[in-house]
Amino acid sequence: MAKEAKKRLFIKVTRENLPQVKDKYPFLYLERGRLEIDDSSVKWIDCENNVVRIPAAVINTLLLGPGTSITHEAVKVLAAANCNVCWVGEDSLLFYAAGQSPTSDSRNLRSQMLLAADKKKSLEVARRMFAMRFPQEDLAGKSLKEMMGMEGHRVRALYKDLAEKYKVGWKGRSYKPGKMEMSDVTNQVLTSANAALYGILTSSVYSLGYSPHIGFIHSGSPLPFIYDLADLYKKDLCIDLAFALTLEMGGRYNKHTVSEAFRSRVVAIDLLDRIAKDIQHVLYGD
Amino acid sequence: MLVAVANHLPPAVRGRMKLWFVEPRPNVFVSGVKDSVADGVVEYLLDHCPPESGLILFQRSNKPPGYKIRGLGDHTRALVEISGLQLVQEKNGLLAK
Repeated sequence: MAKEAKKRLFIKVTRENLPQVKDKYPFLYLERGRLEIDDSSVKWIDCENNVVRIPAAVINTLLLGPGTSITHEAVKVLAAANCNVCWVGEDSLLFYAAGQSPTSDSRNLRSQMLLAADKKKSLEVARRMFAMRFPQEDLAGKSLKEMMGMEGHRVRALYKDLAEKYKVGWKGRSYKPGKMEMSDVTNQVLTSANAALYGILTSSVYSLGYSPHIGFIHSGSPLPFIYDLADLYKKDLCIDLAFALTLEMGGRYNKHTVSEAFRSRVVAIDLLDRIAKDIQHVLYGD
Repeated sequence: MLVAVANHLPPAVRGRMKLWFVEPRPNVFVSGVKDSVADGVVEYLLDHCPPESGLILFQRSNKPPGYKIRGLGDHTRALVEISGLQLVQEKNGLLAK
């Protein structure tokens, strides 16, 4: 062996060679299989022993469903590639884990904190969020409580309108954790679409360097900022979808139909691109 | 951008392909055509290549993930789709007992 300097085979993943959030594929949902590392890339082995490599650096989130296992090394590589992992259950109770690479800075988190800590500015952010959803309303001078009351009223009316539009019976929103199959089909679709949306939002919020825990409208819940943002997109992505699918599925819940339809809507509105712009808009009002 | 990988191609098709493609390695073709021209080339290849040519075509698209994959005949590695993302399966478990 000649005494030449050995070239490093291992390519270090840095922020320069990772795509921006908006250019990534929004999410992959995986269930019943194993994620591990082989030759330093992420390998998915499903329950029939088929092997597929996952190009983790170009995917925003992996949603891991029931029956998945993931190795320690895989989490390490996914974190380095800035690909987030969320665990979602069939009952759609959402747990999440976020890998943050140590290179990311906390500038955005700091500005989010400062906004939330200032009562006046925080109300302004909340107002911009409501204004995005109800552009024809006059929100000037309204308190957070008034705006939230107004919103509840609007959302209930929206449920009713859609129920009439798609001719679906609607007895109101019901969500009981762990009792997914007890509710009607429309509620089931809503619950699972919401969970998937929370997963995507949580991971994008982390990738953009903000915190899911500092909200402007919601508070006290585990992920207030996520629920704030989710409300901006729920109308088209979840609520309209739920009523449209209830009609289409003929009252029988089919999770493949649901995730297929949900994903095509996410891609159609280019959600990841919009999240980045919308966060910028609601926080700083430009 | 269009990339085609084949098992083997009939000489006529191969010659015709080189109107658009360069062939840096045997059976690996790369071309810079885009948009409707690329669509036309893809259609042409899928119509005129016999199934045993085992062709996989990668076409640039401007929506994530940035490519579309089309396969023809037996291209040794299966194409799969997970949550709408087209990926290449490296091992087929049911055959690899």
